[in-house]
Amino acid sequence: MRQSTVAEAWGGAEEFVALSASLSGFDVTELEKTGMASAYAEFVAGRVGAVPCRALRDGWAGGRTEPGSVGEVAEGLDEEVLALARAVTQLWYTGCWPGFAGSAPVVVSERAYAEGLVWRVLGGYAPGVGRPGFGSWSEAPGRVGR
Amino acid sequence: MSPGGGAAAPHGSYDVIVVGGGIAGSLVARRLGDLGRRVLVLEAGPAAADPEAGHRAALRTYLTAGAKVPGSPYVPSPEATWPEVTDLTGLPSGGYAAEGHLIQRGPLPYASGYVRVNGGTGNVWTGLTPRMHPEDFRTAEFGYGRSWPIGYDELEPHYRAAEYEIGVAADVDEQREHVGLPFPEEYVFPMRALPASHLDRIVAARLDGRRLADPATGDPVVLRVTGTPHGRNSTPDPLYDGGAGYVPVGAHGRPDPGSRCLGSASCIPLCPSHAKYTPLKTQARWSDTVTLVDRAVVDRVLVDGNGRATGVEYLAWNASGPVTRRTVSADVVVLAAHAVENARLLLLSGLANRSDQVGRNLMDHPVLLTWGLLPEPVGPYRGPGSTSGLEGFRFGPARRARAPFRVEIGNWGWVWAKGPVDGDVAELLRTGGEHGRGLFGEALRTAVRERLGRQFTLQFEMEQEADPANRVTLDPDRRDALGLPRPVVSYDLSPHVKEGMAAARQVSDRIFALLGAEDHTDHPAGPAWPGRFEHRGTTYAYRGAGHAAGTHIMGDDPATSVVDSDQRCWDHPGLYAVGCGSMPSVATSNPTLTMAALALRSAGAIARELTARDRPAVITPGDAP
Ligand SMILES: Cc1cc2nc3c(=O)[nH]c(=O)nc-3n(C[C@H](O)[C@H](O)[C@H](O)COP(=O)(O)OP(=O)(O)OC[C@H]3O[C@@H](n4cnc5c(N)ncnc54)[C@H](O)[C@@H]3O)c2cc1C
Ligand code: SF4
Repeated sequence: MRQSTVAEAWGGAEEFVALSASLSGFDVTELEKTGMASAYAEFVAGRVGAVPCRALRDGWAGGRTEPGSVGEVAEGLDEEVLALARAVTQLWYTGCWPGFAGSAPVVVSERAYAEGLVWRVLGGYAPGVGRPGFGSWSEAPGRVGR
Repeated sequence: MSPGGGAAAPHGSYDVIVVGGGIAGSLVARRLGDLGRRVLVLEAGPAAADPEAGHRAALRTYLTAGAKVPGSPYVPSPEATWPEVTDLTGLPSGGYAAEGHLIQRGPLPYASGYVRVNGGTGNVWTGLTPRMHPEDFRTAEFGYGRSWPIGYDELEPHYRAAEYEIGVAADVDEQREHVGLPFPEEYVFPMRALPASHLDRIVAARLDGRRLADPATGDPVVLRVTGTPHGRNSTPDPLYDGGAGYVPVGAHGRPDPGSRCLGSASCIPLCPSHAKYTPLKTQARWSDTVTLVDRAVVDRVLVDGNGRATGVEYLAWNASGPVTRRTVSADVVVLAAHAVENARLLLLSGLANRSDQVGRNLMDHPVLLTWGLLPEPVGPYRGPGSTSGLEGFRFGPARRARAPFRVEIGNWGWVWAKGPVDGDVAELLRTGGEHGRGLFGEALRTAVRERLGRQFTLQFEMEQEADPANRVTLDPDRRDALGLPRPVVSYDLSPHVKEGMAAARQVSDRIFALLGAEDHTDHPAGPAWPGRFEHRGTTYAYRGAGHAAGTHIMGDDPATSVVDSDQRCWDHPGLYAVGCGSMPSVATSNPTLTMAALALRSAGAIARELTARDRPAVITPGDAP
């Protein structure tokens, strides 16, 4: 039943990750490495239903013609689709499904919080998750190997 | 330690009842337990039956909390609620609204919270442990607030004892030279100073040795980034204690030579690796003459015909059974329930108030935050929340004209000012980009790096002076789940504090210029800034530091103070009120180390009192409500 929801909403888990890559600026491999892709595909489909997801998929694919112009796709989208695009991207960046359409913010899971892409961008860990080591905070910021 | 759990009745007789298992209560119980005294600790909140399971549950609750507020590792039970920072909201028109445990009736909101679970607020504190300066004990000489009946010299040995119990890491030479603190010649801290953050080093490179004119007096102030003493594990100093050394305390109070702060950056509200001091570490080392009974909300202190404390009444609750009222007696009663709750308990009992000062003189550190972006990446959200500060605005004649302040360099980006990074990401998604409708893809990733990677905050912690009008009272018409009147706070900031904020803002502007930083400070009217006021035509806003003090103020005159210098209530032999509530001035240092030193000093006084009295105590059976 869940699989069919994901299929209905996104066309499949792979399609969800491809869309997410375009939204987030992280490539498919990076997203897969978080281990969150199918959980998020299901979570979002379960929260908002298949119709808005399909609208996002179609709208996003339609707007994204040239490589490098992803940031400007927003220009061509209608407000509802754009709001969902933001929410899905926020989810990837923070592990938290934002207060969307009046609901309270939800951290999807401990793992989701830990895997927030924002910490990858900064080359560190979500507060309370990593143990980078004594004195690590003295070093210049860099990439944290994981 | 023997956890009582739920509504279990304590057995046997006790020399001392301690109300509250936070830092103050846990230290008093440890000291007296080590002397063989039978101590009963009554704790309002729940205690974890298995400490490791409790730690893991708290971590899980925190990691999955939607709002990562100080109390977020714990789910409050209706029987023992507490004020949380999110109880306050700023109104679009200015002003504020409050809900939750504390009723607020002041012109400005009291913006600090605390926590009522076993271990108290000491579970969630940051763990910064500076001492007060000798002149901080003599505030009245600067024309404001109150002075202490004791001075630095009297407290000094107890500071050392507290630094041992908490396990403080600091550089004694730096504290001598740049903070002006006197120490015994041979003294070193238990652990060496914690490494400075990368941000501290960037700031030091640009500020150290520069001079600013004090905005209030024009006198030059030399800027110097100075390491802050920490109650978290660093490298032990082999020279400690005359060469005996020090063994860091790790998980569940166990000696752990290898325990170090690992940089998890969640000290508020919880250290995953047990590097930060919490009172649970002290509790784990209680002697077996100390008994903890959790879920026990004390609502009345009992005294005999001569006013001598004889025991307490408490409401025992648990998740399933009915609430039961119990009575227990002892020779000495020690209130250690936090500044606000200690005052509430004295007011509920109608005790110790000959001076009419119970609940009055509520102080805190109102904090002015300024935040911005440095030109280069600084590596925010790593390590402890703050590792260094600027100490030059804490002392000297300028404090006559304006509140003195300590400047903390904030390592955790804009989190205290603007909330977690989620807000920054949301903003870029909503309004980023050329068209202002949001950024996505590679452009978003770059913008997130640019926006978050260069964030820093300056935290100006103002001394607030004792003012009897800032007070805790009770509202008999508004009761909590146990039927007890809820605490009411009336709070305001004096012109002296407001002048301090204005000076701090000017100092901030100059520091930002020296740093080449872009200033993003902004506190619009609206939900995010309940604590907001105008002063000489400029709007300022503040947060609360969580440093409640003054509510059972110490003095040398029973007519004008609640406790004496041993924290003994003037009016009631055998009754002590310990905690920051006793402090006549809150100074500019985070107050808990001073509170701990006072608590250990009082434990000595209690021990002497018990020796003098040396008679057995009895338990009276509880009567049903
Ligand atoms: C977010 C935050 C960060 C902080 N950081 C720092 C810092 O870096 N440095 C610093 O010096 N200070 C800091 N503080 C302040 C510090 O936490 C307090 O000064 C300290 O914890 C007070 O200790 P206490 O034992 O008096 O009270 P608490 O720690 O609050 O303990 C009181 C205990 O009494 C119990 N209790 C309450 N009412 C009753 C009752 N009626 N019956 C029985 N039990 C009761 C409570 O459940 C609690 O366990 C911070 C505070 C906050 C909120
Ligand atoms: S920085 Fe991390 S390891 Fe260090 S005390 Fe804070 S939470 Fe603990």
